[in-house]
Amino acid sequence: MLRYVATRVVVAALAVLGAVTATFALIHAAPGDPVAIMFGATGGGSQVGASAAQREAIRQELGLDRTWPEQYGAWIARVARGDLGTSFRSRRAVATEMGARLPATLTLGVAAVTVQVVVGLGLGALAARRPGGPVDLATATVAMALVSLPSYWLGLLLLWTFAVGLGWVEVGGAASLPRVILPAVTLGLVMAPTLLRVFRESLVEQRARPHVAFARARGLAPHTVLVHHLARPALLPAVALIGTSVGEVLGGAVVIESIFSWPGLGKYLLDSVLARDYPVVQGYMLFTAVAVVAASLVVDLTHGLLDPRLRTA
Amino acid sequence: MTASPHPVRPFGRRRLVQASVASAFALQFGDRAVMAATGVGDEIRIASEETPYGLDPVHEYSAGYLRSLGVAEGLLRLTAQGDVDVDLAAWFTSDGPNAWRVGLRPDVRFQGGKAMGAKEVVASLERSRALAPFPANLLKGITIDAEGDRVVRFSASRPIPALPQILTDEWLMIHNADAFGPKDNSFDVKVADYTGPFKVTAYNPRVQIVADRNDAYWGETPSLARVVLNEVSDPDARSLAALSGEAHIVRIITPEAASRIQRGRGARVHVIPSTDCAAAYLNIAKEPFNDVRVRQALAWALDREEIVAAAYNGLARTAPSWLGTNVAYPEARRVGYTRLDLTRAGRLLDEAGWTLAPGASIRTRNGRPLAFRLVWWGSGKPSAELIQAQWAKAGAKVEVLGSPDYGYLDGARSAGDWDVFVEGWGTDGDPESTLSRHVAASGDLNYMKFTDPVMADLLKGFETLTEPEDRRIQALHVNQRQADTVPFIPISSRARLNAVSTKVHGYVPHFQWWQYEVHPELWISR
Repeated sequence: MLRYVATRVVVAALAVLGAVTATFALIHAAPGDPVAIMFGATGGGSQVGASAAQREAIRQELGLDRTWPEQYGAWIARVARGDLGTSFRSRRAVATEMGARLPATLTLGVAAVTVQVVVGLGLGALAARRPGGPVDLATATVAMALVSLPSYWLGLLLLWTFAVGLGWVEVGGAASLPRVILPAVTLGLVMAPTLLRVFRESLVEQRARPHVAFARARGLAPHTVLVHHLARPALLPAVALIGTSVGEVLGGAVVIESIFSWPGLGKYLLDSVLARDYPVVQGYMLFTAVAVVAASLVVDLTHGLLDPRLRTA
Repeated sequence: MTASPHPVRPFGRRRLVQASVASAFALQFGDRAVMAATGVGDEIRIASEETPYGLDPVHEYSAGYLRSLGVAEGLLRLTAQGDVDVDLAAWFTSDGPNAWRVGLRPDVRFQGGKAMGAKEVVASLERSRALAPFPANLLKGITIDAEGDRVVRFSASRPIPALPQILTDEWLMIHNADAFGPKDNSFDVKVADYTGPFKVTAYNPRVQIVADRNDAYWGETPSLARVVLNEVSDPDARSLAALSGEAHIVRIITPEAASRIQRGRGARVHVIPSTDCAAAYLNIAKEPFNDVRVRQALAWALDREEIVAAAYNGLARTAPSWLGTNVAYPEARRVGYTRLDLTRAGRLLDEAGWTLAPGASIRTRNGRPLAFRLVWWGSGKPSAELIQAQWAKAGAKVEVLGSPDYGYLDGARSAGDWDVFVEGWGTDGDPESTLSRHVAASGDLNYMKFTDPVMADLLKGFETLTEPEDRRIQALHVNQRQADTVPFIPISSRARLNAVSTKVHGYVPHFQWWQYEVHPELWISR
């Protein structure tokens, strides 16, 4: 067991290192110089610009005059000391900035996964009751529609309805529980269809398994059959899918947080990518890689709890 | 040149009527009625594409936002007509070609209570110059001295006729240098000490900034009690904020949303008369743009009216020449490429050897097609596609590519891998500085590597001109030369559309968006 855990930890660390290294290479390879962008049309005045000497001084200050391997080595060394560096734009510690935005993204993530689970598992269970029946067809149609809808469009549609039409929510402002509802519903609905279909398929498949028929033949109560012999094994693929939602939430948050002006990490990342704010992008990707790997570990452990065969193995 | 002192802002007719009505209500119904009638006690909410990145004027992307919220002020300002006017200064006067004296208003205090005198103004400007590149360049070679308590003297070893315009720049806002300290100090509300009618009381970077009325303001007491600026970065979401009535002022809405908002009764759309000029910059080091006739032909082949109508819903101004978008240069609208002229474009291309074979749609020269790439960025795709279609009518094959990401254009430009790109820059400010950036051989925006002895002489001519009108005329000469040599093709202004609630009174659309969007006389009716 110890060897298994150690192996998993080493693999996880390598996965994180691979992800952040790839991010470093990609963001540095992307066209655009952070200092040129800083003084370019997005940030320049009309009367004066910055001289070549001033730009070079800033490049040196930000460490951009060093080679890529030197920059990478310096960043890794800083991260090893628990320092994510300083944002080019705000000149604040990346950890401080991410820490300020993390609660908003966590709130959104938890709320979105809740919506995903309620909608996905709920409709999946309803659909599985009678495969091919009207409810199954209706949920399949809803799932297809939700999968086809771009999250951006769905978000605007919800904003239009609830902010403009009904006046129940505000478009902008500080993070608050009422304000998280719409972005969470949007993100949750976008993620729910896959869970719905996976859980539905799993339930249908489990229902046909001999152990379920045997449990019924033993005269067990329908509720007991459903919870212990049907739902529990059917949840296994669904739980794996929910685990991968961490990555989906963090990826989806980039768009959703921008539409809803939700002050989380996603919007922060988008702004930072456009500004070529390398330390922020790298810090965010480190966080994302660690979160996804950790979620994967949690899923593995949960599998063990749900499936006694894995524990025995 | 001397401006009349303005020790106190005029008490306008509207304010007089407003106060009279308020007084009548007060007699009848007490204080609450006064508040209801005047809007005193109200909060104005603004939805903006961005909020300040910091609270320190030396911080990038902050100065304009702080000025726009009425938090900070400069010594001088530009009026909506483009004239230099006083702000924290009471007067300004030339002290010979190489010097200016600026007299300060009496009784101005920073929001923290410290008196603002000449010494404090010098400290503020010196701090900005030391910590940020733009103020350093604006004040390059200029010595700033306090003369007693109320006068600041600006001097240099060369003529500085444009100093008043320089002092209107957003970066040169006056702040309490002692409170901010020797480094960029952007995130502590307690140190953000300015002179404006509103004082920052809460700041959540890139989310929200709240400013409350400065009761000790040197001028007229602001009608509004609070200003709340929320960042709503998505343009469609901002338009929804306007439609829902959630924000009183919504900055930069989309042209598509503008007509919808106009149809409603809750808000008006203001077309902010931007002095920005979007232009197609040509890589004149390469064929075919190394031939001025080709550049002129492409300039004549543009239907600017169509671009304005289709890409900006008619809410921008055409730019026949580069200064054509600037209110201070009305003559520039009659210069350059004032109409679509495909015949002339065709003749120029023929002269340059780019001919159209019978039945062909693309011109060729020595077997090579007239083909090049056009790079757009930001929201420039619709206009880039229109330009593509218009130049196709002249016989050019244009490939359009780009990205909302500015880095894409920057990357292509620094690699020298570009033919044409579209970008917009402001035409306001000191004409010598503004024009030199684009057409001087050493200009930082002269991506074209344009060199021209005539242009160099025209730019040098500014050095001996000290009178504003002489400099304005010299700028028009430069503008004419730019139109003749066409290192870049002016297209149109870039309209800035703001939605403003009908409850907001006293809103002033200004071509410098950050100039007094929020000011003491702005008020909201219930």
